[in-house]
Amino acid sequence: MDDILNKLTRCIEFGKTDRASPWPPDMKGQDGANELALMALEEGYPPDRILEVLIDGMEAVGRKFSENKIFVPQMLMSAKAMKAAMEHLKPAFESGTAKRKGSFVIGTVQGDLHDIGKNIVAMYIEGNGYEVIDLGVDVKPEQFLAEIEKRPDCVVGMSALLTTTMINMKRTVALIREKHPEQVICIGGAPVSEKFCRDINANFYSPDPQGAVTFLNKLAS
Amino acid sequence: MTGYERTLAFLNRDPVDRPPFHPIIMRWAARYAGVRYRDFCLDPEAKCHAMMRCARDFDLDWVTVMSDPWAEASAFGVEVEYPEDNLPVDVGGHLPDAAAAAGLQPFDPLKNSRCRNRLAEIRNYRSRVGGEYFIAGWVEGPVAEYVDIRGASEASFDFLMDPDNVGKAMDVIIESVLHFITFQLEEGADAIGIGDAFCSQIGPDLYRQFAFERQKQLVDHIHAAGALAKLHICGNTSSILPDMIATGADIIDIDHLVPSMSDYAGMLAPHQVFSGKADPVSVIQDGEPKEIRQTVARDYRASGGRCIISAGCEITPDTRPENMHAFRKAVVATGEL
Repeated sequence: MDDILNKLTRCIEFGKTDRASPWPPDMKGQDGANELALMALEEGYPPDRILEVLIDGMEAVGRKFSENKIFVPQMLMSAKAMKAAMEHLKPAFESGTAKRKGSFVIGTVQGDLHDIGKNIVAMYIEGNGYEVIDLGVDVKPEQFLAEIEKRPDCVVGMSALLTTTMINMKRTVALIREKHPEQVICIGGAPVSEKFCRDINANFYSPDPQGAVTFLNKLAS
Repeated sequence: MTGYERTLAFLNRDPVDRPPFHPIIMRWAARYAGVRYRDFCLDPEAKCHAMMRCARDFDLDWVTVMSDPWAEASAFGVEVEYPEDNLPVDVGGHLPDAAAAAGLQPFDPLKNSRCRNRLAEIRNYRSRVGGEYFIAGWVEGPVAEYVDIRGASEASFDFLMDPDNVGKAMDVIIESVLHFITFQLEEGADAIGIGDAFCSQIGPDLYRQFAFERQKQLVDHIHAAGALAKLHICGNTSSILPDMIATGADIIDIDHLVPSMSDYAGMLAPHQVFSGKADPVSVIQDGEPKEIRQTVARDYRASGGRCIISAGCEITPDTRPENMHAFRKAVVATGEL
C-alpha cells in the first residue's frame, strides 16, 4: 500500500486527527487524518480507495475495542480522526463519484438523553463506509418513521441507557413494524440484551459497535 | 442482629447469620414507597421515608443517600432540572473546555442545597435508625465528577488531549469532596460510598493516571476518620479491578458484566469484601425466584464467601416487589450454605 494511505490508516487506528493534535504523543507534530486525506485526494487517489483505507483503520479500532485493548476515549479519538478525513470525501459522495455501503438511521429513544454510546456507534458505522443519519437523543417514534419514509432502504439503530427507557424502545419498534413490517432494526445499550431484542421483535442486538458493523456488512453484501 | 451489626461483623470476619444485603435502590425505592422522584432527590424527609420503608419491608441491612449524581455538579455550577417523576437532567452550566476546567473553584458543601440535603438525610438516619441499619453517605469520584461537569464525550477527549488541565480540575474536585466527606461523617455516616462509574470506560492506563491515587486519597481520608469506604464503579471493571482493590476501599462493588469474582477474590485484603453482582435486569427484574437464588449462591461462592449481596448496579424501577422478596430470600438461603 502506498505510504500516504498507510499513514492514513494509522491515523485512524491511533486517533491522530490533525497535525496540531497532541494525541497520540508519539505522533506529535506529524500530519493527521485531516491533512493526509486531503493529500491523498490531491495526489489523485480515488475517493473509494481512500474510504477503503479509512475502513481498514476503523476495523482495527473496533477489533481492539472488542478485545478491551482500547477504551471509550481512544475510540472517540479514532472516530474524530475518521470524521476529519471524511469531510474531504463528502463532495465525492454527494456527487456520486464515491459510493456508501448503505444508510443507517440512529437515535437514542424517547425519554433518554444519553448519547455517548449512540455517538460511538454512529461514528464507527460512518467510519465503516455507511451514511449515518443521527437523529440525536430523546427521539420520538415519529422521527424514526419520518426518516424511514425518506430512506426506505435504511437500517434503523436505537440506543437506550436506562431500563426505564427500554420500554420506549419496545414501543418504537412496534410502531415502526405497524407501517414497515420488514424494516431492519438494530438495538444496543447497557441494559439491552439478546433476549430483549427477541422480545421486542427487533432484528439485531450487539453489545459493541464492531458487531453492528459486521451485521450491516452482511446485509450489504 | 441488626443490619448495622451484621455488616460490621461480616467485614470483621466475625460470625453472621447471613451475608449482609445491600441492594442499591433509588428509583425503585421511590416507586415502592409512592414518592415522586423529584421529591426523592430534593426532599430529605421523602428520601429517608422511602429508604427506611424499603429497609424494613425487605430486610435490607443499609440505608443510603443515593439518588442521582448531580449534587456535587450543581455545587460546581451545573444547572439541573428535576422532572416530576423522572431522573434529574443536566441542562447547562457545564465547563466549556479543558482550560476552563483548570480554573475550577472548590465548592463549599454548606452553601449548596443539594449537599446540605445529603447531610440532613444522614442526620435523619442517624437519629432514627442509627445502629439499626448501616448508614452510607455518598460522594462522586474524580472521574465521574469531571464527566458530570464537562460532559462524557468532551471529558473523554480531554483525558487524552489535555491531561494537565484535567488533573488540575480533579485536584479541585478532590479538595471539595474531602470536605463533603468530612461533613457527612460528622453527621453520623458509618461509611462513604465513592461512585466513579465512568472509570469502567477509560481502561487501566487512564484509570491509573487520573483515578487511582485520588480514589485512594478519599479512602484514606475516610479511614482516618474511623469510617468505612465503598468503591462503586459499574460496568465491566475487569481490567481495573486489581487497582480498585488496591485503593484499600473496604467494600468493592462488582457489576454483573465482570465475568466472575473468583479471579479477584484472592486479591482482597482481610478487611475487604465485594458487593454484587446479579444482573439487575435479566436476573433481578426479569428472573424467576429460582434463577435469583442460583445466581446469588453462585456469586457468593465465587467470592469465597466475601461478598455483600446486592445487584451489580441499581435495582430497576420496574422490578416487582415479589422479585425483591425472592432476592431477600436468596440472601437468607445463602446464609444457610
